[in-house]
Amino acid sequence: MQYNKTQRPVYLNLLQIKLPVTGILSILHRLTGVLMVFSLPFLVYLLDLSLNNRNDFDAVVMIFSHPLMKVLLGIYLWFLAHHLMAGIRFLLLDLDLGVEKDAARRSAFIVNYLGLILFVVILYGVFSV
Amino acid sequence: MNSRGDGIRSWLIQRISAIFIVLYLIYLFISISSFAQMDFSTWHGWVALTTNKILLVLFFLSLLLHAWVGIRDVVLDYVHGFTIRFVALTVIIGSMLAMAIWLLLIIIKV
Repeated sequence: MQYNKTQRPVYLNLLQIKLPVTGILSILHRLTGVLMVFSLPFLVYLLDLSLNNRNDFDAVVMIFSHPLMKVLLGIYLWFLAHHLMAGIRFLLLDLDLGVEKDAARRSAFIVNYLGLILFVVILYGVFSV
Repeated sequence: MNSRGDGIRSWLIQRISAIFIVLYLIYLFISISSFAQMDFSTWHGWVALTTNKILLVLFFLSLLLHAWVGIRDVVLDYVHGFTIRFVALTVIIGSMLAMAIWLLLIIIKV
């Protein structure tokens, strides 16, 4: 490391660094965001199809009646829920709310686990519709 | 960030668009929940209302702006080297412009 002028050890083994809970939240916020961006063309395509005519609309409904698509939809809504909750947390941090280390760790923990709980609820909802 | 104020502008865009996206999703959810039945004519009729067309376009533009600010930060953080970065950002913004036009074509058709 040429730029490490102070000769401090640099330890960047991603498999052994223990990411703090706030870091996990942050990376999930990015990951879910990027995945949702990549999904945009498919969503626009489905919107296009759903507004064409009766047959195409029914085709979209058929697509989402497949169990595999329901699981995908459930995962997608989980990503959206996590991204939304983490985003609200970032907005509150902007307002100087919950900036202290303990509070920030607690809220990150809540967002991550609430996301997991919501995922189960969403899956149940998706399969019961 | 090549100009003064670019950072604060992105920061503002990201937050204002986020709030509008959430408000629209709530509106969409409430509207769909109130449909007597989920079929083509109900859905098509709802989207075809002028107010809903305008809101859909505003929503999609907010979504694209939000996506652009977010993914640009991710690219700048993880993609190094001028050429590959330039190609990535060009492909992304090109796709986004294409999707904006696509959505307008859908709106016109409805």
